[in-house]
Amino acid sequence: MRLLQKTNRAYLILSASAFAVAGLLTYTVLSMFLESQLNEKLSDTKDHLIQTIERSGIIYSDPPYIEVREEPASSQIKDFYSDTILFDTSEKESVPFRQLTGTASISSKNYKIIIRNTLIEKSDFLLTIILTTASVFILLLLCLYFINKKLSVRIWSPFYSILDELKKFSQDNTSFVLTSSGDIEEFEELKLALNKLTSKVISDYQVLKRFTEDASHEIQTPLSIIQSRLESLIQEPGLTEMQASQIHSAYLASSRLAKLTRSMLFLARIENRQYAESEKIDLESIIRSQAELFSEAIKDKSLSVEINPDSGCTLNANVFLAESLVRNLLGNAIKHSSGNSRISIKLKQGSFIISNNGIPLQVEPQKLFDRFYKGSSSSDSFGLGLSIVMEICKAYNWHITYTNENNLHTVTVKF
Amino acid sequence: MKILIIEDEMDLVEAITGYLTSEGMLCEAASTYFKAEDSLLTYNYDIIILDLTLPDGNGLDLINLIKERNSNAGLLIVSARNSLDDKVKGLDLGADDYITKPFHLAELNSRIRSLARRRFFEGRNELVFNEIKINTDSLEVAVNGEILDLTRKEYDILLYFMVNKDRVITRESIAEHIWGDNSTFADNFDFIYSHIKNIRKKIEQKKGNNYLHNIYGIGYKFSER
Repeated sequence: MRLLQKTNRAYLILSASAFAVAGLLTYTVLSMFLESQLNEKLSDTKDHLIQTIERSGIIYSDPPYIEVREEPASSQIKDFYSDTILFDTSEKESVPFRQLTGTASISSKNYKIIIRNTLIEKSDFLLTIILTTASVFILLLLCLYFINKKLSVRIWSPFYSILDELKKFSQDNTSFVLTSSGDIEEFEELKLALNKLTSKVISDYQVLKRFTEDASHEIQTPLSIIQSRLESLIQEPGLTEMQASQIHSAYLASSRLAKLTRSMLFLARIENRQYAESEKIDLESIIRSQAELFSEAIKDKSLSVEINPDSGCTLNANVFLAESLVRNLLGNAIKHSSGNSRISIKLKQGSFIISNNGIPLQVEPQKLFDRFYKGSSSSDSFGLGLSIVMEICKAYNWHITYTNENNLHTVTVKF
Repeated sequence: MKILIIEDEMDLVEAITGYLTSEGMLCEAASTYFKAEDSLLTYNYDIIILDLTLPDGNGLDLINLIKERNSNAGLLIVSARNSLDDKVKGLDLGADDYITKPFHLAELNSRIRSLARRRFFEGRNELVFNEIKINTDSLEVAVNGEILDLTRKEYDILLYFMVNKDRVITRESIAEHIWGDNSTFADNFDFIYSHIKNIRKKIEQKKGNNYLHNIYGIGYKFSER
């Protein structure tokens, strides 16, 4: 639910109940006030009537408003007020009255006096109050609508522009800074805090990337020493079988480490965009030369590699990265192909599609491009090949997808 | 052949010197930018191996001095940075080749030999070992005067062995020499084995001897016995 909706809803519920209470209160207070006013008026009229009768000696009566009857002296009653309903013959309907009943002795005679006055009908009274309250309420809603439409939108606009800018944030964009400005202090503060946060994220990310690169780089020289020392050791004449196999396993481990650091360094360098030089690349010739380098593996598995080039498919990229992309995708396809099958490479203007037959994927497809993620833990690979492919695609804004249909695994790169 | 090794890691210098000396090369080392300048101004060298990261300066800046004082010398750059920038810059400035750490000594030796062939034999060169003769211009191998029908990879492997003769060459080193970055993918050792089997067979067909010996299951050695 949006902020405006939420506040509006709360405001609506609260004001509606406030108005209902106010209406009820108005009704109660007003009817009490009117009653006391009416009582006073009835009492005045009674006093006035007694004076008139005393002065003129005429017993004045005007039913149903004034009724005067002579009563025996014994029936003295105190004035009391009550509501009653009488039938109005002229209007042919029941009409509510307020009446004052009392006795008075005039010229030593006892009279019962009833003074009446019409009451406003309760339902009419209530309806009037409801209508008034409701119209004020509607007026308020109109004001609220106006405020939201004009004022709120203006007040919140810096917030929304900050939000829009923030959505475009990427840790690779080192020059990212929020620029929207407004005159609202809270949002200015928010902007400052966010700018601080994003610059910290960016710099931390840069440090991390730098670190990977520096660490891999620093490992290279000691590794060179280990490898060359072991290679010299192997040259020694008269090594026993046992010594040779120990040297060999140390040598294998150091080779593996060398390959790993090389891949990590390569990955870090792509991330750090250090392969800036680009040129027009003939992808087909790269594919053919890579296929030649893999020829033993292709022959070994009795695979056939079918290359369908669209004439003149070229793109601008770094040769080294393009080679690496093809190498990793083709190498992967060969590795995971079932024997005696076909690898198909389709090359069109704007896309590169490679597919191979193989057993169903043992891993989750969405994790395929994750670093150090591999199908089986026993596998010799580091699980960096497809991450390198992914990183290359990111560097050039290429779109890469993996699909699987009836054990046909297809990777598509859209340039 | 006189070689100057400009490298600050003394352990690495020792390993390289050890390997190259037994190949009959004369090695000298300079561990700092300053010492390298000193040596370059004093002596002449045939091949210079230059590490770009020196404690007191950037190796790239030495290239001009090398070109000035030792214009005939072959220049091989060694770097741990694996940076294309450095490679491009180095080659632009006049370096002849570029090798990334860590490397196999056999690979380094093969690069130096190939550099020496290009530099000092004006592009014409033949490597001879008893009845086997390799012409590195025409990429042809002859045994007892008869041309062998080798594939490109078989040729590369045989040349690698001839350049590093009497040495144990590991299978990893061969794999990286032949397949480069592609060597991480497949089980290359079987492929190396079958290539070597083919080379042996083809040499034997021309009445040549088998000089390729299996060593402890680690690798191979190209030698007389």
